[in-house]
Amino acid sequence: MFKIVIDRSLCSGFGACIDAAPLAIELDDEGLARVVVRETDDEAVLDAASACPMGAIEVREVEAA
Amino acid sequence: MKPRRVVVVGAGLAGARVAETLRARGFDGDVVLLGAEPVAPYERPALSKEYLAGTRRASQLALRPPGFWPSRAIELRLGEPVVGVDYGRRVVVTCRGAELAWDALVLATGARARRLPIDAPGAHSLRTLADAAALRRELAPGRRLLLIGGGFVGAEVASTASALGLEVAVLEAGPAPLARQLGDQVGTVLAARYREHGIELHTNASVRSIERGPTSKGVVAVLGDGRRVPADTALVAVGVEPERTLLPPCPVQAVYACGDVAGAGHWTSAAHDAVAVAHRILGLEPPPAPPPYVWSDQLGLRLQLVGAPGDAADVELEGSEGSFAARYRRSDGRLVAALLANRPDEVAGLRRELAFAA
Repeated sequence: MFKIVIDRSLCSGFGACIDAAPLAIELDDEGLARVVVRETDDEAVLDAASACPMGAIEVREVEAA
Repeated sequence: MKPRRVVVVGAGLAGARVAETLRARGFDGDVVLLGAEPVAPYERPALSKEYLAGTRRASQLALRPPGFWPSRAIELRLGEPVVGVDYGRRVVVTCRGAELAWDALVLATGARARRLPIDAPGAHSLRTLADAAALRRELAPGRRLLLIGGGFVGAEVASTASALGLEVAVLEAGPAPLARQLGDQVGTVLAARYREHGIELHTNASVRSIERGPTSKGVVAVLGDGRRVPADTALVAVGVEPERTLLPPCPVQAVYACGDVAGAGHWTSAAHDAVAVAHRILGLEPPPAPPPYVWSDQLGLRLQLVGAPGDAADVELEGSEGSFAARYRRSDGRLVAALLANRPDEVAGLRRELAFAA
């Protein structure tokens, strides 16, 4: 399982994360990224973190609850 | 033929991305990542922004957590610049005299801060974490900082230093800050913001010489028209130039260059270049290139530039001083780039629009 943490103070609204992992991350009304699911086994979240120019997305591997 | 051993020279964004993409795409040979700086791959853009402001520490800039590299069997050799490449024997030679063999070589040596064509005694430059740490030690409230260059880095450092309570002066060679990159209209808006932030801005300023200040403390920049601009500390921020010394004189099989050394110039270009090189090494089709993207936090504005405004014939500026957009169009009306200031909600759509246009 992966746990996603987004630092919204860093987010610029670039949006490459939602292209990479549309099921796990979305953009809110202000255009900033937020998590849809806090934990997922969707490996696309790793691509989402890599795609973020601001380094605002942290993905940690965690034990399944 | 897939290689068995890939050596990546340069552990910035591009080098790091090549190494991790090789692994992500299933490469199981050796991957060696050599960095000249004694620090694991980090987010360089933050140096002139959050790091200098003191809101992010060095340890918070890492591109990956420390355990990432060993967990992917990527051998990181840090603080070990490569001094030469023997293309005949297929080895790189490091500053410690080590010879590392490769059957695919990636040169991701990046860029170095451009220097002035004149002597600049005591002036700082800003490219590496060590540069940023040295500059940060000088940023004490009440001191006076001189920035030579009003580009992205110059403007970011100027606003950070001003917010930290320094008196700041900026020398810009052009008619307005970022006028060459973003056009005169945007430059004029930015110039007004410098003045509102109490930053002394000298435009059309050519620097004739840089001298030590009285009693050898501080510096004085002497301008082409004879004006003398004194400061306690100076930073030269006049752009970068590719670090090309290791590149072969002509293309060599199984040797790749990516990132700033290959002229990427933007975070997204460097990241994409690196992913594309990793795919080529493995004989895979690379993903499509994203439009260029630059961001900058300066003068209370988050600027985001998507696309390449250099191709534009026309600029439309709309909005207010604290939240505006500039759209750059070719003579046939096609959008080639846009600059957004404090408009995060428009970026994602714009990025898609320009990706489809490309």
